[in-house]
Amino acid sequence: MAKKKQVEWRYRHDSDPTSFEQDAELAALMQLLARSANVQPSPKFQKNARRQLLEKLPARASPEPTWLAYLRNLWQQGQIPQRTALAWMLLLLFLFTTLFATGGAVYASADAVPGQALYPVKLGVEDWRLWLTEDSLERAHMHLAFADRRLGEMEQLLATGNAAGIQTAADRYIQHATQSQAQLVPTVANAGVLALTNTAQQTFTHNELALVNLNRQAPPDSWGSLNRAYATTANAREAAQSVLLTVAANDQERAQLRLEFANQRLALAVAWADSGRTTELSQVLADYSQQVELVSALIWQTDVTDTWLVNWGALLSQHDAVLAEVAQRAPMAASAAIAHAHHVSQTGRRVVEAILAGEEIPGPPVQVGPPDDVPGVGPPADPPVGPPADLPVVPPVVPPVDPSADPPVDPPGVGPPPWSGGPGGPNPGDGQPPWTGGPGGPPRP
Amino acid sequence: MWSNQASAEERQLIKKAAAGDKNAFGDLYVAYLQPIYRYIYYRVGQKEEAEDLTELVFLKVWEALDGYEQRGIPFKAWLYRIAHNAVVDNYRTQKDTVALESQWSLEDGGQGPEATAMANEREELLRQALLTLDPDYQEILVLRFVAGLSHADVAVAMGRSEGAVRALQYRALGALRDSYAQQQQNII
Repeated sequence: MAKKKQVEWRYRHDSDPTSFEQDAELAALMQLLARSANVQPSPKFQKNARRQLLEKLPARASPEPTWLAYLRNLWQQGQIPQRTALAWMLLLLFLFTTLFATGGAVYASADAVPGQALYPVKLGVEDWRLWLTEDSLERAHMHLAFADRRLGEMEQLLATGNAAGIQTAADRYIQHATQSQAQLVPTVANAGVLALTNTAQQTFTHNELALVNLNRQAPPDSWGSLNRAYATTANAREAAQSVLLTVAANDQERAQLRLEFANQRLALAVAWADSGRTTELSQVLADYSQQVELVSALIWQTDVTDTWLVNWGALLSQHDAVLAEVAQRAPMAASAAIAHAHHVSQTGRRVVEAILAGEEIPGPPVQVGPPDDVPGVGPPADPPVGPPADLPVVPPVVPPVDPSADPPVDPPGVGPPPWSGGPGGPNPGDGQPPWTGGPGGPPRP
Repeated sequence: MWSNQASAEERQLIKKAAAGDKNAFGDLYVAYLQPIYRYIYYRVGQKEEAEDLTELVFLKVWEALDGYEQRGIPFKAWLYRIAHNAVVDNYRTQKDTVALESQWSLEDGGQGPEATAMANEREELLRQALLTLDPDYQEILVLRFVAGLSHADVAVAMGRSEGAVRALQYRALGALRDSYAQQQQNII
């Protein structure tokens, strides 16, 4: 098999004892590049770089009030004497006790939405909770939870058509999403980061779905806010997925992850088809196609069990059925993207059949992207470590299509601006049952 | 060049910048401008694009600095991680990867004409060899030998384990050796 030859070549190449000295020379040569006078920013750029950057820096939105940040800073630097700190803590405790004991305002504010008198109390309590939380990962989890709250508020506000309120909630949502995304760093050894990343991937995937539904129903003056919230969500979801792919132990795990991502994209495609939005639908289908192609490439390179292959083939058959539904509901302009997705899905099935039949495949169906999915950029595959693990059987999940879904709501000529981020998805609340627990998507946290 | 471990001065700058001090952030920018530019330039191969991306990286750093925790991840590795992501995003948006050999231009570095010519020729050969490599190979070689990052920092920047980084570097050097020899043969 070509795959085996590739691995053999790699090991033979690596074990060549004469290569060490030459590699040392090359390393020294490479360091010459580091000192090369040819690689410098232009003098004009260097001269103005600092000023131009400072002009472009936006004021950073802080999740905590400035004076809280100041106090935190003083505390961390040990500039608040212990006695003073104790006095402050007692005072704060007293204030809190009074607040809780007297009015119940905090409790009452839990259901407040932007525009209501108790809403600032609700946000204040959240800010306090964030400020009191020292652990950055725990804070990131809290940001995720608070982002979810803002989403719920947007859904509540939608009923009243309160565009200003939606904008307020959307802005806070963006802050929380951005803050939680900042913690998504691929540190392999840190189980806490991994847990956060998994939660974030699930949450943001769900939020994409919710925002698609919101956008479909929201008044036009809310579209800008929702678009920004959606773009932030899509970026955060992509970042989380990128981290998951990066820290995956091997190609088998990556194939499993991409399979799940493909399912999620397809579910999203159904929602966009119902929305009648060609651009977004085409983008989602392109993402779906890419994930399926990459799964095909990964299973070609990596030994997976026949059971896994059979399930993947069955899943692709289900995808074909869903794509047929999408084709019926989508605007004609999306037909090319749908046809491509169909083609990719069918090609994936043929790859499965070829592998199961033990046929010789001349080459990988597509170049496998690196963990960050650089299109057309293939990473070197690490040599397989150990025997192939038996990947979990994945029940095919078909994103259900609601036949009674609303027709496209874009008024002629006044369509909402296109999403600037990634794809969106179906909303569990729009007549489609929520994720079913399989690879198709996450439960709402 | 800043060392791998952030100095007290650098930590102070980071803290101030995280609190919203733009001037402190400007100082960080000036300190890291050259190495980050160099890293990006070797990945994208165009001066103007590298300059734009360098600025973009620092804008992203500014946005994310608030969530940066100094404990755990070295600032420099975190910075290169963001630069790595920016380059990857750039690949995504510009799928038609540029033919790098047409972009790299050699200049007289202030040496004599003959020495400059020889140095330039060797640099050019190496660059040509580098650009024929798989992007992951390019990345690890640039991070290790041009940016001067440790294996641990490269692991953070590339999102891989340290062991995988060592293995990748070994394979990358092997590939570079083959490619460099090929470039030399082409000249002969």
